[in-house]
Order: sequence, then C-alpha cells, then structure tokens
Amino acid sequence: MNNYIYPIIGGFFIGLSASILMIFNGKIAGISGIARTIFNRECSNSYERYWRILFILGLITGGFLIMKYIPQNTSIEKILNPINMVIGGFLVGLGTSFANGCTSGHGICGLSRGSKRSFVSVITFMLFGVIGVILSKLWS
Amino acid sequence: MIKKLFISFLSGFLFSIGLGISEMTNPDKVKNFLDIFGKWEIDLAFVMGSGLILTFISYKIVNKIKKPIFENTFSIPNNKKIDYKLVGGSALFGLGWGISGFCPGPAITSIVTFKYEVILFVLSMFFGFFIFNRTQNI
Repeated sequence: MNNYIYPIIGGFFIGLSASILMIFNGKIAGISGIARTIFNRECSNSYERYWRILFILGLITGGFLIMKYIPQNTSIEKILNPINMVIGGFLVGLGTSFANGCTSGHGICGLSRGSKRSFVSVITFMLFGVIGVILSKLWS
Repeated sequence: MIKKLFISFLSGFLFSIGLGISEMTNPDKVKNFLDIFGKWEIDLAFVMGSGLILTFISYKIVNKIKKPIFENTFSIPNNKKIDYKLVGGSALFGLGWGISGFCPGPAITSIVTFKYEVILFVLSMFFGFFIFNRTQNI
C-alpha cells in the first residue's frame, strides 16, 4: 500500500489541476500542446500567449517546492545520459506535435472524455515506451 | 483576464506538485514502470488511474455547465481522425519517453534542478516542436 499511496495522491493533484483548468478556463491541460504553441501565430492574442506562460511558470514554481522538500523524487541525484536526453527530447518534441498530445493531454484529459484518438495514442505511446526502455538498455 | 491567468498559474502549480509527489519527475521511476520485461514497478499506473477519476468527474461537470466559469466556450478539440500522424507521433513520443524517462511536464518542471542533461532534453524537445512547425509552415 505504501508504494501506491504517493502515486495516488500525486495523480489526484494532476487530475485536480486539469479539472480546474477545464472548468474555470475551458482549456486542456496538455503540457506538450501548451509548450509547443506558446510562440505560435496560433496564439493570436496576448491572452492565449499569457495563459500558457503562466501555466509554465506555475509548473516551474511547483518544481522549486519539490526540489526543496522532496528532492529525492527528482532527477537531482540521478545519472542521466546526455545522448538519451538529446534523442529522447527530440522524439518527444516531434512525436507529441504530430500526435497533438502526451501523457497529460491524451492520457489524463483525453481518456476521461472518451476520446478514441486519445485511447489509440495512449496504447501506442505506452507500447513504444516499453520499446524505448529496451533500446536504451541495449546501448547503455 | 487576471482571474483566468491566476487559474492557469494555479493549475500549473498543482500539476507539478502532483508530478513531484507521484515521482513522475524521477526518470528512473518512469523507466522502471516501462520496464515491463525487467524490474516492472507498476506504481505509476496509479498516477493516471487516480488522475482519471478526477477528470472523469470534471467532464461530467463540463457537460452540465455548458460554459466554463471564467470563459465563453470550452476549447476542446473536435478532431476524431485516427491517422498516421496520431499513431506515428505517439510512437515517436513513446520511444523518446522510454529512452529518456521524461515526458514534457516532468521535464519542464525539472528545469529547476539546473542539471545540464535536463536542459538538453528541454532544448531538444523544443527543437522537435520547431521542426514540426516547419513541416506545417507555422
């Protein structure tokens, strides 16, 4: 039970975050979409740009609290392979763009509204996540 | 606008707190979750499960209230096509996630570690966004 309590609590906060953003502002808490479109011409007016920036600032502010109080839950003491970071980052950036979503957009927000697209996306990225781990173990 | 901007900030803040408490910000934990033929720590499955309970409830509310509290309309995508972009993009994303242990939210949240590897991931991710935008002539 110990193992599951923190993921459940964390998931609650994530779900709460997405719920608040949707019920109050009518927006989807899809991090890849928010980050990708900050500088787009899609953000036709300043509000569209500003709310995305404020969301990201909120992420980073929370990040500082996590670093302060539960640093063991972050990557701070972990060894990260920079090549995996570059390859992984690029694939995540390109992939989430074409898929128009990620674990938050398609996973948390899409599944709960019964989106078939999100269901397909989640199954696919989970499967390929498994493959990605296998690949990175092969070359590490 | 101020109310909506505050909600955006609050939402981002709660999101990263959730990522931290659940350990989604720990790439080793994420990779162990995806390592189904190896260590397989299933804990992170409960993150999505727990989050989905709340968003499931919130969509019931969305269907009842017809318009957001501070806004005129809901910005919900109406694309229903399951195409190569969706599947191919999800595959690439999954690969990147498994290779690095990071997805967009945890990566941006982890900028505060000031680890150069995390910065590399975030820069590469934005480069991926840039390349996509070029293919779309955005």
